[in-house]
Amino acid sequence: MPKRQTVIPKRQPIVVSGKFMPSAELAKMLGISARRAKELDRLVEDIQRQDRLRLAKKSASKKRQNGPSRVAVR
Amino acid sequence: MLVRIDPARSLELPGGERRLDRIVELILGCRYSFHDLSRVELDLRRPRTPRMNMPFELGLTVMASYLNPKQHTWCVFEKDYRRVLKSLGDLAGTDVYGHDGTPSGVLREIANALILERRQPEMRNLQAVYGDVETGLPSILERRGAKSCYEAAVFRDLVYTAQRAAIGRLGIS
Repeated sequence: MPKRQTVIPKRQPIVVSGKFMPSAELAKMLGISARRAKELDRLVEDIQRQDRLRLAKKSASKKRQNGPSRVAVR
Repeated sequence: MLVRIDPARSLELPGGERRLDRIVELILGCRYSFHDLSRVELDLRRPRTPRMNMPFELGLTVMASYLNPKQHTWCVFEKDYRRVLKSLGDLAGTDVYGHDGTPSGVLREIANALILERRQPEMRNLQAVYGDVETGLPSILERRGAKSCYEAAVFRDLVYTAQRAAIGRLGIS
């Protein structure tokens, strides 16, 4: 039996140095077809585009609520 | 995915192997494992029994890491760390990450457990990626004709989606 030792020291984080796997490689590893990978790419792009639009609208609405800036008033 | 580790679950191994063989193979093949014990609770169906899979898998992992201490590191997550002290006293002295049973708590504790050598993702990035994956889930389920995100094909799609979302959020091409 090997010597008993602490496996996780208290609150010592795991240092990770990995990089993102290229998407095509990841899809291959997961068994996702190229066609499905493209569908998922589009899905993520759509979601993130919608989110950017939502944030832009929110920001514009906030600006309107705050009234014109001092520069614009002058 | 934002800390650049490729997640694996026993459901994603192909073939007709026994589930236990798959789990052992995964534990031995992975550098890190994360064990969430927060779902160790009584189910609603009779006979009401606690789900013991996660503690059992944790036990297998602990033994594997004793045998190969440099090859595997494990972390335990719980809704409330005091639950572990009560349910699994053998883990006394082990640091348990308490995530409060919330997605943001899980992200926070994973960020506590893992450190990137170069660039540590900010909480807002983690939440944004979670939001992207959550938003995409209904579409993925529909496309796969699935009811649960734990089905193998859905899980693979989610892993891929999470990486794409992380790349998009971090502005990496």
